[in-house]
Amino acid sequence: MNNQGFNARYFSRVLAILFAIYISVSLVVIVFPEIQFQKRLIRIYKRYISPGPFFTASRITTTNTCYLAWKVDEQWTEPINFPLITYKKFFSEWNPTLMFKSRLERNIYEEIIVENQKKADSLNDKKFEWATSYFQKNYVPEGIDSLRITLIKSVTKKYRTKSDTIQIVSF
Amino acid sequence: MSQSYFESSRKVGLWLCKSLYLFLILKILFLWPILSDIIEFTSYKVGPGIRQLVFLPLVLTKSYFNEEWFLGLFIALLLVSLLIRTNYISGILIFWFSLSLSKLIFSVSNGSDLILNIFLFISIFVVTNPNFNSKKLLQFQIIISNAALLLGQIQIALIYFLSGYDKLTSLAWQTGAAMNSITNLTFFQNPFLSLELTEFQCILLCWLIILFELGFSFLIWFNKFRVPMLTLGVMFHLGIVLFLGLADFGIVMILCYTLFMPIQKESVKKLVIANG
Repeated sequence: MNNQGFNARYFSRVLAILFAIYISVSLVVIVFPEIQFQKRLIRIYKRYISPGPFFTASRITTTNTCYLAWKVDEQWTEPINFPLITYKKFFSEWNPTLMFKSRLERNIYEEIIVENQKKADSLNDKKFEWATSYFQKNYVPEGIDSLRITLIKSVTKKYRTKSDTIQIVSF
Repeated sequence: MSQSYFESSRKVGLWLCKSLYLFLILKILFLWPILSDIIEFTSYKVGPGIRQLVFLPLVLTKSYFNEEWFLGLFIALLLVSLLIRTNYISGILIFWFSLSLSKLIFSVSNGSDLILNIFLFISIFVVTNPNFNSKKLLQFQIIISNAALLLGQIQIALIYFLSGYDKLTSLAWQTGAAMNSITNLTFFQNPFLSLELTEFQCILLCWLIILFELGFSFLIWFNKFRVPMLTLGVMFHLGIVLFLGLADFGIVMILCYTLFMPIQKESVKKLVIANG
């Protein structure tokens, strides 16, 4: 056996062992997701090496929807579910920009409004201000100075859906 | 690992790279119109230490250019790799830029971005351009390329196994309630194809998905089942695109199936002759 053949064979064997270790570790992490060993490493592994699982039960039970209304002649307009408008438009046009836009809009109200709900000074928050300017730029007619944002949380569990209005912000 | 497998992995690697690069180009182009809103909302920050190196393209963008330059440069790099040459250097650069892109568009990203980056990383090693002249180095190149191809296949199988096993142990999936929940999610349902499922249909669909995901991770390794499993997989992910609107996720998963492309044995001779 020449040296070159030996090296290649040795290298293949090392790789095969690494593969076996990788598959074994992966199976342990998958079958025992609550494992309390090397938490940081496992977190990195789950985040960057083996993403998922997708559509876990905890992530598919809750939907937050956001309605926007504004005042015209001292009357509130019919509320619009603006991310849903974009989302529907995506399916009618199959334009992926609208898919991303709808995701962004959901993140805007989920991150900003839901997060701000926890704070007393929500109306002063920079992100909140940015969100309202986004709404005004994209959905609200010019010259409107009163906006109302309504957030509704729907939870579907065991074939039953329960909806609650969790926040109304008017300004 | 035989040379026939190498020749196959070389083609598979190129197919994987080129399809992922094309996907990335389209993704950037479709993101471009809302880029300013994404950046203003996300206001990304790069942390200290190793992150500065990992996200260096973004760090440089923030310091010296703007995000449109970053995207333009990334598209140029992808086009060069797609149309002229795909090699180790372009593979590394594209993976590096893609990490920065994922950070930049974090507010509109999902699992598909993680999967995309994993397979961009793997594709660096599957591609074998340039071929090393030294016979010894070529031998190592062949081994690394084949190992990367195998790793990519294992990775896909593990993604399905993880997903299937999680569903198998979840009460919501066992009872079909998960499917009912999905059909009630406002933003994961095509409004023009809305489904109203009975409890029995929900249970049936849930178990079919569990069986498919677990079955895929095992049966894909047998030649006899490979084509049927890939066909089912393509249908499954097209369903995700059509019914749930997760176009990027569904397409990335389908593109990764190129790793399971069949071996073309007639090309072995050419390679043997080419390498003396």
